[in-house]
Amino acid sequence: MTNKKKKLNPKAQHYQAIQKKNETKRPIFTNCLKAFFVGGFVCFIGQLISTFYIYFFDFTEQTAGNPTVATLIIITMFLTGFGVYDHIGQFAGAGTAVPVTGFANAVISSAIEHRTEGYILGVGTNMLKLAGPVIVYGVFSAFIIALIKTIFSQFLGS
Amino acid sequence: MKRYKQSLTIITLLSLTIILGCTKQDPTYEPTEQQATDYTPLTNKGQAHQSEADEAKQLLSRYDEVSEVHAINNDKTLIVAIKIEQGDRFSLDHLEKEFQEKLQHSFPHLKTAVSTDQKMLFELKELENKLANDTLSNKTLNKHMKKIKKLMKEET
Amino acid sequence: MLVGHSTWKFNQQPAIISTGVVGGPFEANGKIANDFDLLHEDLWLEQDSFEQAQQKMLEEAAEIAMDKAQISKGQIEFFIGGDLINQITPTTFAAKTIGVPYLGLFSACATSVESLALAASIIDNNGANHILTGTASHNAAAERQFRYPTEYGGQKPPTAQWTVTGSGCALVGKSETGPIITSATIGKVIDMGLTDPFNMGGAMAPAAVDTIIRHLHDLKVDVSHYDLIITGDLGKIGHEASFDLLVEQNIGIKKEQYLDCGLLIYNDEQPVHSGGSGTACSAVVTYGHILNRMKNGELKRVLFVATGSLHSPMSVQQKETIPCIAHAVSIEYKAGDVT
Repeated sequence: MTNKKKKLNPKAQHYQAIQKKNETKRPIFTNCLKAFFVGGFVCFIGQLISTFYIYFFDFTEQTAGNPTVATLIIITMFLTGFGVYDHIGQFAGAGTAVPVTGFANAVISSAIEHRTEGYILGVGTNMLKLAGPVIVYGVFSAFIIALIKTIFSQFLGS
Repeated sequence: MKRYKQSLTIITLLSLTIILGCTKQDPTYEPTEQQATDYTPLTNKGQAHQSEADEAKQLLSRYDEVSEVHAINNDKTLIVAIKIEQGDRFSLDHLEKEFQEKLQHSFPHLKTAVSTDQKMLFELKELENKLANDTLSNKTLNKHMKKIKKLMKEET
Repeated sequence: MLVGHSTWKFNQQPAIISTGVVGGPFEANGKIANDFDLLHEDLWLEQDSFEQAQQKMLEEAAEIAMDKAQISKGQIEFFIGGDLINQITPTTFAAKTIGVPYLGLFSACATSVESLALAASIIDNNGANHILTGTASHNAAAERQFRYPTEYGGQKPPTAQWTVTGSGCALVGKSETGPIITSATIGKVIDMGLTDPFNMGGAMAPAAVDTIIRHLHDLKVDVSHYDLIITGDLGKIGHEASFDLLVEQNIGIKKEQYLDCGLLIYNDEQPVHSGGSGTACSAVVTYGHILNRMKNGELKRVLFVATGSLHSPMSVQQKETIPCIAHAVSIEYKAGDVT
């Protein structure tokens, strides 16, 4: 895609200046604080769940990650289904979007939304509409890093 | 100008992260004469065959980096679980390996296994309590130790 | 009759004979809930999809308008309408139910005025006796198409707007009294290079200003000719930005005579960020609240300027700018006996 930075004519530039002056600025600092605390709280809940699995079941620190993530996803599923998650998301922003809860919400909300188009072409196709890039670029970057690591270790003979 | 400033900030942050992450060299750890961490000695409870475990605990508790240590042994195996100080957790793997080597060296006739995992700490602590209260038979002890060894091998 | 460059002046007195205004649960908690003919408690309206719910609201509004005027389907020559959904299918299905020859339109949130202007023009030229105009929008259907799934926890910026769930229909025919459509100005596509789909108000403001200026110029009237100039859905940012632009034009516009439908419809406590939007926004506020104020004698001459941002989700992804348009009709109230 060509990066065309269209040159704006003076009228447009003038209007954009007026528009910018009137534009409600996003409260970035407050948003960051909210995201930090809510995100931290989500991680805290995750740690509680993890410790729960370690103490009451035969999971080690290494293996407790899987059931923890699964539990968080189930919690997100209920919150999304009951229509509560989007309000939390509006408040927290990145705080709920960055942890696995954000990914789960993206998949679950898309799945709920497209039920009207059927289960295969509707839910099946559109479920990963928002989460697709996460999967594509996550796998791709993991591949690249693994490649780099392999090449480096060959050269440095570690 | 804005783009230039942005890239400069990113580069500075990245370099800082790399520099800070690479400063700590892996030192060799030495036991100190200072206050040793407490541990539960089991030998005087009449369980003679826990002497290796007690020795291991005594050895490891002298290290500053170790804040808690639990150990159990039978005829063939010695399992040790340690808790590392928060600040030293950056070199967790290295510490684990070093202690493993030291213990194997001290007890060549046993198969030693060292773990920093929360689960092992918890399990071994329970076993120690049971041993202290004399509520554990040899057979059950061996069974538990087998289970713990299996858990230690598990990966995600 | 064409006056100036792009304005029609109507001599045969095409008027808004009756209206039907329907709203959803959010609108029921808004500032002008009493000006609605019908309010719904939930977004689904017992239908299988949001799009079907939107269609149902349009059908309801049309029926209410026809009932009020005591005009049946057989007496209506044309139905002119449109909406935001792809290929305007909800309006098409409603047209099927209404069963009247159909002219489908798309100009996003300016559809209400575009349909009024065309209807008035056809009637003025004796092309029809009664024309039903209308539009509907649904918050969830619009969000699904233009932005994210309804339950997605993405954070909307303070410049975002809330699509109105509702429908507004106006039945147009010749009349001696009531709200007479005296003229209409057709808008041009105006694009000031803005690209943020979460700030449509800011993008649409110049279009509104352009149309208002051309309208006043074509008719050779002063801004004081109108008691009220009401824009469709500029929202907080668009309203302020357009007012600044109008002040720059030195036409003597006053703050009290310049309002926006998107700002009138919701309460301050409702989380609508910058205000209401959607094809129904301009329709429900004007056909309900504003016309009621005209009937009360509060307002005599109103310039109704609906604004639309003509982007699509794909055009935004392709890094295109947001082209906008604004159509205007002037409505003058002649006192008499009107339902």
